[in-house]
Amino acid sequence: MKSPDLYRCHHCSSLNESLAASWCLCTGGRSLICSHCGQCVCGGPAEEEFWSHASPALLARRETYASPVVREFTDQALAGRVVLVVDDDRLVHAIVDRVMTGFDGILLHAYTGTDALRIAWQVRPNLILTDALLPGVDGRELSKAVKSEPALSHTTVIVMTALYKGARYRQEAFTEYLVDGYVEKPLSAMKLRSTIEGSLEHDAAVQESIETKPQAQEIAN
Amino acid sequence: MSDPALDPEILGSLLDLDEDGQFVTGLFVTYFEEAGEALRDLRIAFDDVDVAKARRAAHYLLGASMNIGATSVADLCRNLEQISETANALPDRGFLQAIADEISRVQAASREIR
Repeated sequence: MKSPDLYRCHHCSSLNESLAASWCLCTGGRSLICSHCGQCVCGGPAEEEFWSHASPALLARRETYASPVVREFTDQALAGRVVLVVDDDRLVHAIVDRVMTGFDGILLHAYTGTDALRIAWQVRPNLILTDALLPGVDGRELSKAVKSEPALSHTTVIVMTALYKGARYRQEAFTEYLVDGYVEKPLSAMKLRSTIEGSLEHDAAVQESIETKPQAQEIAN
Repeated sequence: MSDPALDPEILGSLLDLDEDGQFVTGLFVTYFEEAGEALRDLRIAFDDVDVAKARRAAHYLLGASMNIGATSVADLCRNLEQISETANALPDRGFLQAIADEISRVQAASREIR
């Protein structure tokens, strides 16, 4: 699994060693820059749009961010605790929010595969938990796009499905759509929490086991 | 005796999360909004004989129903999905009424919670 420290600038295609250079909240002035070309690395959407995807717990902490979410995301992502939940059903988001009460990380919500891809590009989540069937880009295609992108290769993708059950679909999910996990709905609250926490712990353990070089220095703001 | 409108295990798991007494109520409010949207889409799909639209609406309602424990609604939606997929046609319009009736049962059951 690739180290999460390498992120590609969408302007110059250089790889940055620090996560800080890859997070972007472009508001026409307050953005993160690539250490190679000095451009904003992805020219992402305005900050307000980002916040529209934040969980209530994250929103509650918004006031505390000076150099806003950048530092928080850097720390949290290095700690392996950024989770993106993707489902077009508001119930799922409400349940995940409640199940993950007290979660020591960042929980983000997306309702379409397209939004999820854009958010994934910006925040490089450690885990994407996605419904299989979504309007537009579905969860399985989302997984394939994420897992095929070197900058996102560290992201664990777990697909939830009420429809594509059975050995054939499961096999297809792993081989063709490159998912890391495949769970059938409905998930109990306990199963949901253990799936998320278990995946993050596994990711952290793998990262620890392959870390052979010192942590790259953070780019100064 | 008919099956319960709400699966006690799923409902119980949600009630376990309901520390403030508002969470489950909020879920049901969301569910009935979503169910209303899905039923509307299903009616339009049946009017237009749009099999794909009906399948999408049925799947959406299936997922929402499973999340809340309305397994009988979910079963009807699953049947509708399967029929429309295998036959590439819509079943009798009575199916829609059956789904609507079952949602009404869920509404009645939700009022009895706690």
